[in-house]
Amino acid sequence: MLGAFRVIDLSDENGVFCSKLLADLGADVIKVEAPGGDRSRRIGPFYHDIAAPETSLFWFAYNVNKRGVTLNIETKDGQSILKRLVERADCVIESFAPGYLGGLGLGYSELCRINPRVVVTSITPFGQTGQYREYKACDLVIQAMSGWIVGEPDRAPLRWGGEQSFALPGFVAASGTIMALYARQMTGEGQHVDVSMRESMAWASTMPWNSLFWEFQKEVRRRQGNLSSRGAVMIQSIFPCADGHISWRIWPGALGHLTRRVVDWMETQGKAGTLRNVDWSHLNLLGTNQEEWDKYERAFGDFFLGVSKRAIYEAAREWGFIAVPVEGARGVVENPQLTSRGYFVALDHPELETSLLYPGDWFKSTVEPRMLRRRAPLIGEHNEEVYVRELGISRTELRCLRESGVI
Amino acid sequence: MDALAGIRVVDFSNIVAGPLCTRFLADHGAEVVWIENPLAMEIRAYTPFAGGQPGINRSAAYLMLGSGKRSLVLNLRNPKGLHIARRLSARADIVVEQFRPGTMEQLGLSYEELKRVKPDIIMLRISGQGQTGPWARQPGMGNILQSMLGFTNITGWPDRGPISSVIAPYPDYITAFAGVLLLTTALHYRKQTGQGQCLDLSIAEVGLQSLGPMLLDWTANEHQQERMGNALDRAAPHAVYRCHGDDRWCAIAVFDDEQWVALCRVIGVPDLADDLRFSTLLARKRNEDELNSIVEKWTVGHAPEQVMELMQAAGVPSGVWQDVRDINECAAFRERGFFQMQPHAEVGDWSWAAPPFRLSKTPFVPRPVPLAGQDNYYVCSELLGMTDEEFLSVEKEGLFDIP
Repeated sequence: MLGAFRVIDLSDENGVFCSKLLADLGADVIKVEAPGGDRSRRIGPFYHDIAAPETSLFWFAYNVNKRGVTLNIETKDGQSILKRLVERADCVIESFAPGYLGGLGLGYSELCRINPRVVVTSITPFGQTGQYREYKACDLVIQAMSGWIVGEPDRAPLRWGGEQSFALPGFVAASGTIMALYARQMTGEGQHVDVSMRESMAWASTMPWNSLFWEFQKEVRRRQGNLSSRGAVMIQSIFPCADGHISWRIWPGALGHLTRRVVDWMETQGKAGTLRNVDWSHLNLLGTNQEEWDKYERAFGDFFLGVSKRAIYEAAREWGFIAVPVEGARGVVENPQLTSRGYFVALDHPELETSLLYPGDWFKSTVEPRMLRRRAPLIGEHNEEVYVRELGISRTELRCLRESGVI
Repeated sequence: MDALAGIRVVDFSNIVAGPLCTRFLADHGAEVVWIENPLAMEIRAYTPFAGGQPGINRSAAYLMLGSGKRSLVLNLRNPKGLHIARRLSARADIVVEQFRPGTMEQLGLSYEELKRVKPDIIMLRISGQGQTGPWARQPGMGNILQSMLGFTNITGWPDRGPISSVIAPYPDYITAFAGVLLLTTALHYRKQTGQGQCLDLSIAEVGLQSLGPMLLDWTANEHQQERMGNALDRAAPHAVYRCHGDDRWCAIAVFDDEQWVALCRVIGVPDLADDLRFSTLLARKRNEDELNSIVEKWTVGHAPEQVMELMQAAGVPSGVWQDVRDINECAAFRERGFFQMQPHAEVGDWSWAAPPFRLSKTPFVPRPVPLAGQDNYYVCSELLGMTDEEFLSVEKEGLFDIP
């Protein structure tokens, strides 16, 4: 759907996911790396534990569908080539420290002089402005300062797994970028999109809502493991089962019918016991005490201990209640719903003489063809294609640029 | 100037992903009519309430999601209500829904039906696990679903069980932004080709995109990632340290030798930098527990803000683990306009939160949160051309009644 767009991606781990999404939607994304490879290639895990620039699975996952060139933008030749690339581009994605590109004469004001239609999207931990703009950050620090409430009360707050600061802000940045491109149809001009990873993660940790607990009620919400509190009652949301854990909770009141359905299922196995007598739809949390609630949770918990993750997942589908297994990567890849949707797709890696299974289409549409077109680029893989064939740099010049460390 | 001026959205969705997506569209000038089912107004019943006082216009959840929208309270179980919804959809550029798959078909509002009256309609259908497949009709909820995707399994301490994000349904937020991305893309596509489309967005499928490396570790290496607390393979120290005060913490992360030397200076033991137990990253990883207790012996004597300031001044990544009070009162957030006081007809001034992306020339504009049913008349008369008599007659039938 974005087939006509060209994106120049100058970013590191803070931005590569953004342009991957644009590439998934059909944009022609050129990943520009420093000669020798981008620093994000150092992030594992690694293919067959081979710690090398061309085997980073982080790189593989977040750079699919892109072409790749090398360019040292700290050299005059590099800056000149970048400007030529920007001339022909619709957007630039970058994640340098605020002011870095400006210092090289490549800031938004210079780039939009070269190409008034270009959209420049800057993704940084704290945004382009503000008292923290020069602070050093990483996923842990960004999660800390976006108020993640995860963990157990007797230990330190926990980071949410999978270095999410490299992912969710990418969705934010991509959506702002396309919105700017859409606005361009009206204005004829590009603009600068400022994305703060901290603000993005603050939305994801529900701070616009949760911070109002302080503002409205002077209440500080705290981490409580897998418990959530409603009124005077703490409600469990993760239960051990025969072969692991499931995520499920008792719903009283308006969603009480969901709990009823679990009891109905238990009844078919003769295990409902006294739970069958509880009127879940009229159970009022304000009128229930923890002791009573714990009794219910123990009864359900005892039942779940005898059932497998798969059995619960299937029963949830059959009976219409909400329960899912707590899965690791293997369970995810083997998930029957994802399989039926054709979610995982094999992508060829000729350089490894194999193909790898990737998460594929992240949406379906009446117009969109399949998303996965090519694996992430090797270092400088498309230097010739882009520089010689598209920019018209001669082979002699290319050799000079290579030998002098520009590419 | 508004990026989405002239775009009209009809939003049938209820909680988090859908309504948040359309909220960001409203922030940029789209007219969003939020259809609220009077029999399912949970979003107006979530705590906290302004002033601690319950009321259908006082819920923080609604304030967060309702910003800039028009509120149409409409009973869709009533055929006249459904008819209004259908007529409204025919005048929309975009329809967003997040019902259990099959519901819109039951209501006669499937994509095929909508397309018949508006051929270039853009429809975004959000669901837990997709519109098709054996689990399509199972009700879903982001904070439960996330455990199926792998997040929970890799969150927690190595010596304890998996920990979910109970308070924040993380994949719902991914879905909300993915929705904005898809809808702006679809608007662009429609401008180029005249074609609308129907988008099937599954919270599970889009959520999994942010676990790519973890999934590839299995498909390429048959390796399942384990819980590792706050540690990270390529850094040490890398943890959250107890600070002075009640439940006060600060994150500190050291990725290279320079940051290590700087940290030792900050905590008053410059010679520690050359201590063979810690002088290299590998050594620090080998002796990480001891390292962490040395750092924490220092941090417990300092407020987390001071730890952060001293570390950052020395070039070491560090951040206060902010609680909701810190976040709400954060001067940096206020300075950025991420939180700004906005007036509300009933609750007075409250802290509105800005979208996390800022467009320099077509920026977001904070717009008021509607009271329940505030725009019933506007929608019926202005958008649907109903006469006052027609409006009064449907009103008498109880179509807009809130129980």
